[in-house]
Order: sequence, then C-alpha cells, then structure tokens
Amino acid sequence: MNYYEVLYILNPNSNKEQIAEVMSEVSGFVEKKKHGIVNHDFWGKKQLAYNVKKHKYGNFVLLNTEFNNADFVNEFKVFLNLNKEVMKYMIVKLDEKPSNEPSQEEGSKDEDKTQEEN
Amino acid sequence: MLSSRKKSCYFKRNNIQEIDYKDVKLLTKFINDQGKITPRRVTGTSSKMHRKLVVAIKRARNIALLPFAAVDRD
Repeated sequence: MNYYEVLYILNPNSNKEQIAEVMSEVSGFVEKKKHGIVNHDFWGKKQLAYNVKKHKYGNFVLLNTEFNNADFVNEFKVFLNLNKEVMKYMIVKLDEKPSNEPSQEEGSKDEDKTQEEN
Repeated sequence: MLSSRKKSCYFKRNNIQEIDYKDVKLLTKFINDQGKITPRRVTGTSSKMHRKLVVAIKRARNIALLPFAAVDRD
C-alpha cells in the first residue's frame, strides 16, 4: 500500500464542465479498482514554463491517492495516456500519507485571476 | 581584511526539512534567470538540503512549473 501524488495538466481550452468530467473520470477509474483517493484538487489555469503540445497555458489538477498494489501505477499511466484532455502528467511516490488540506495555491490564485482578465 | 561573511543555509535558517516541488515561489530563489540551478558555493545551502532541492527543481521542470531553459516570451 503506497501513497502517490499525481499532478496532471489538462487542455487550457476546455471549459469547467469538461474539467469536472475528466476529474470524475479519473476518480471513477481509481475507485473502480478499489483504490483510495485522499485529495483531488483543481488548481486553476496557470502559465506553463515551456510549451506543452503547443499550448502556453494549462489547467492543473492535483490528485493524492493510495494504491493497493504498485502494478496499478502502470495501468493508471495507460489510462492517462489514452485520455485526450490530459496533456502531461507526473506521478510521484510519497513517503507519508498526504494531508487532507489543499497544500498550496494561495499566491498563485492571484496570478490566475489576472490571466483570465487578459 | 580577508574575512568573508560565512553564508548560512536558507533551509536551516527557516527550519525547513522537506522541499516540495510544487512550491514554485521557493524554488525560483535557487535558479538564475537562465533557469539553471544556483551552485551551492553561491547560495550556501547545506549539502543535505541541496540534494533535496535539486530533486525538487528537476521534478518541477518535468511538469512545466519551472523552465528547463528560460526563453523570452513577450
């Protein structure tokens, strides 16, 4: 039993319903196989440090999970690769159980607002 | 005359044990304008924390939170 942190970037042109749909697809896929979800947060639209699939912006989503067996990581990668909305993702194994609170994103929320105005 | 002020580790001063790759504000203090990691001899970071810092910066680069190489984007 291990904890994993998955940070994935969705297409910047997708609207809020599409994002919610992808997020529920992801959590549905994890829960269907009896793995736990600790946290599933939408960070908002952020500027990327470099272009990803020719996009300058991306919708970031953070997922903290608990997988019962390590083989599920590969299954999950295949699932994310097949999803057309997911542009990029990273899976990191955690040493400890992550906290339930949304860990950050105080400072960057202001940035997001300015981006939307532009 | 030759006395030079000893640099101290930023993380030791602020009592930080773990470095999160999502903390972009913190990590940008340790990269230069080209996006390169600042050497330890410049920042004075302890070797233990520098190793953790390097891992965090490389993870942030991987998920497009930090640049591999900075470019003008005006």
